[in-house]
Amino acid sequence: MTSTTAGASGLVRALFLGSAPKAAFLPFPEPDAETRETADEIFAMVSAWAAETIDPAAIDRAAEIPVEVRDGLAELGLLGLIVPEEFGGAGMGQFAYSRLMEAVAHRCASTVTVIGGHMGLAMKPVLLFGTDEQKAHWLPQFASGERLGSFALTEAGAGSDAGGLRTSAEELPDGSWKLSGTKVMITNAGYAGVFAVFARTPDPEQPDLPLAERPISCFYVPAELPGVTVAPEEDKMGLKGSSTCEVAFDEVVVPADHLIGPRGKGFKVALNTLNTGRHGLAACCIGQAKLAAELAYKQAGERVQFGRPIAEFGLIREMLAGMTADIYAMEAGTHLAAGLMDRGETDYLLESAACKIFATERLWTLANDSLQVAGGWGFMKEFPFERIVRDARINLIFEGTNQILRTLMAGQGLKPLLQAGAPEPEERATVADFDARLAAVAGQVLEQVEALGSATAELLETKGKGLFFDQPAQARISEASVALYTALAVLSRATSQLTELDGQAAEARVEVATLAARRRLRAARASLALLVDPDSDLEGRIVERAY
Amino acid sequence: MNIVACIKRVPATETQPKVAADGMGLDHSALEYMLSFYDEIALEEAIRSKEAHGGEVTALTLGPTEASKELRDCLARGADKGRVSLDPACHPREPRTTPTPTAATDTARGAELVFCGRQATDRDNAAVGPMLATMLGWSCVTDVIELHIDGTSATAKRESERGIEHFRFTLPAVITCQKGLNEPRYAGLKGIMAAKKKPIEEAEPMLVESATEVVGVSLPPARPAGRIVGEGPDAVPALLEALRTEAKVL
Repeated sequence: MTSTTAGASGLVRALFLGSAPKAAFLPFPEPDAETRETADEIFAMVSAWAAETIDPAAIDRAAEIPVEVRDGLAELGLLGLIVPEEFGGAGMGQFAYSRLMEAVAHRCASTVTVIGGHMGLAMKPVLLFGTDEQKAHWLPQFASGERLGSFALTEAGAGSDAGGLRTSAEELPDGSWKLSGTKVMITNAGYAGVFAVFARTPDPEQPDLPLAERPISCFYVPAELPGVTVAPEEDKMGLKGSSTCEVAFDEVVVPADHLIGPRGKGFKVALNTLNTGRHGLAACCIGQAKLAAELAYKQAGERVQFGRPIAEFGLIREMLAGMTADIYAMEAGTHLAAGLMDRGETDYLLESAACKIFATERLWTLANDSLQVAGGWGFMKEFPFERIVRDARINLIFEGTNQILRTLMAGQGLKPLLQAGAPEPEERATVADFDARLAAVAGQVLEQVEALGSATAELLETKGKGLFFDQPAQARISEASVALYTALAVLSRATSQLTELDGQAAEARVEVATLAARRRLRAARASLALLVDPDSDLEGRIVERAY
Repeated sequence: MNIVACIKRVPATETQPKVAADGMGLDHSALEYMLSFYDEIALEEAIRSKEAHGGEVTALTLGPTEASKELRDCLARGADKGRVSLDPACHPREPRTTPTPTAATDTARGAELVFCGRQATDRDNAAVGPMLATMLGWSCVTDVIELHIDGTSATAKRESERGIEHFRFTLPAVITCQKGLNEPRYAGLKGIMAAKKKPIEEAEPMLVESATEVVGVSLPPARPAGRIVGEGPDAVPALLEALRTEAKVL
């Protein structure tokens, strides 16, 4: 995971060092024709089904997803999309999964959490770490929807800091486990058939460790076991249809073979799960962003003020064009990471985090812009604008808050700089690697990549290891890396697409990609400009005094 | 039983068609396509007939090679085979030219039951099904909303403006399908994956020249904007007056 060289992957790690290694993102890792075709067919089928079956406004009002919708997901086979065929699934990869998430999210953000919680999170421990017997036992039940999964990591004292975990599992003489603890804000809890529960287990080599210091293990706990209690649904701001509950485990006896992954390595299981889960969340944001943008464009074309459609006014155009460009950028970043995952790269922690940060934050501002275009009507519950805003808010928090992800990215990205020896040189991307029509902006992006490398090195020189405690500075270099990762993804994707386009379609693509890359460039520059924040001491003193 | 579902790739109903620069047809580059609405019902009935009575369903279309996309959808829903009778010039064709090669294909395949949509949602001719039956010399019931097959005899209900008509007939037969006959299924993931292993053949059919020639295509004139005659109960007399004298509908 911490390779210091940017091989075929590790694009974001390399950006921190000031280089964009060609092999990491050029040519754009498009899925093969058959995968693309299948993903398109699934997308079309799911979109048609969702349009007919799912009423997002009714789900929001009732704060409940009808059982027909959940059953429909299972009957269409969608819950087994990424399960290998020998275990009853379709054996598709992350690209197809991203497209499925986008299709469902485009219709209903609440409904897509059922899939995300089930296939993106709860199913992952056994898929990634299970033995053959465990896979044969659990995956067919997950794929058919016979058991819906729910990922139970968070506790009252363990949100961003999984170190605060206090759920415990004690080994019984027959090898089974007695599990106790309470998990909070658990997605899918209300209809889950099995919970992926993370609990502290005794370390056989240090049996006297206090609970708080014991290693963590992952268990699959069937919901019907005695001692499992699901509390009533939480009343939430958004994603109201999704099920979110507290789940208590009171001396639940869990069979020995329900321990998933190596004993004591549950933290690794959780991190690897969240790693792909975050990427799926970015794909959901694409779906909701497209919906918000379609509504905004429609409104701007129809709403007449001062004698013309408001789409003709500059400030509305700025918002609309920003939506089009940034949705293209979200797709580029997300599909790039999916392509890397599907070709078997294992180091995509930072790319996945970058996708999540950009997509969730941009959806949040985009949904807000869409509501703004709708004016006062956007504030009314009669129209979908306000629901999209409410539904978008949680994305910045769950599956790793964006603040935590930024510090995580900086920590990982800076590591090689602290280690002895320069990383091996890589063949770097140059302006000539991109379509000639994108050369100007590509040159600026590559320059900015070098600027990030210099800024990071300089910062490390002045702050030393103190940089690891300077969250605002970390966040800014991370932010620049997110922006540049996305810009490079845009340029690579457009370069590939332009080989198949001509005439007006090509011209349009060049313009969208140019704007998308320039906007990321702007974000990267702004972050680097504030790297040494002259106000940070001031901010520290103000807060000290007030709390 | 060999069952054939005749399907057509048509412009998606929500896309706004544009007339091509030469004014002789639509600008096909600007269109998106879909499986014609009534053909989905025809395909569903074909699959249900196979599920009830055994046999094999072939989804058949006359059109460009791109129509294999719609055939793939049919295979995903449960058809066993697909066949595109290639006709690059399918757009300006008159209805008579379609059933001629179709009839030849059906005969060659030993089909006993052919399902068509009651009409294609692009041209609305509602002609291919009955013409096909005529050429084959088979029974034909159009606009069917209920169908029962028992061996080689069958009964069907047909919806017409006069009411419901009940028919009894023997196979082979051509059935054209009306809304209400069934609720078409979604392919599902398993269907989509299974469709990859099913064959789609492309064939060069014996095409018949159209007896008619398209000399021009134009969009309907734009509808004039509506007019608000007033508000509330006070406006009722003015509205009635306008409906009587201007619109002449009362």
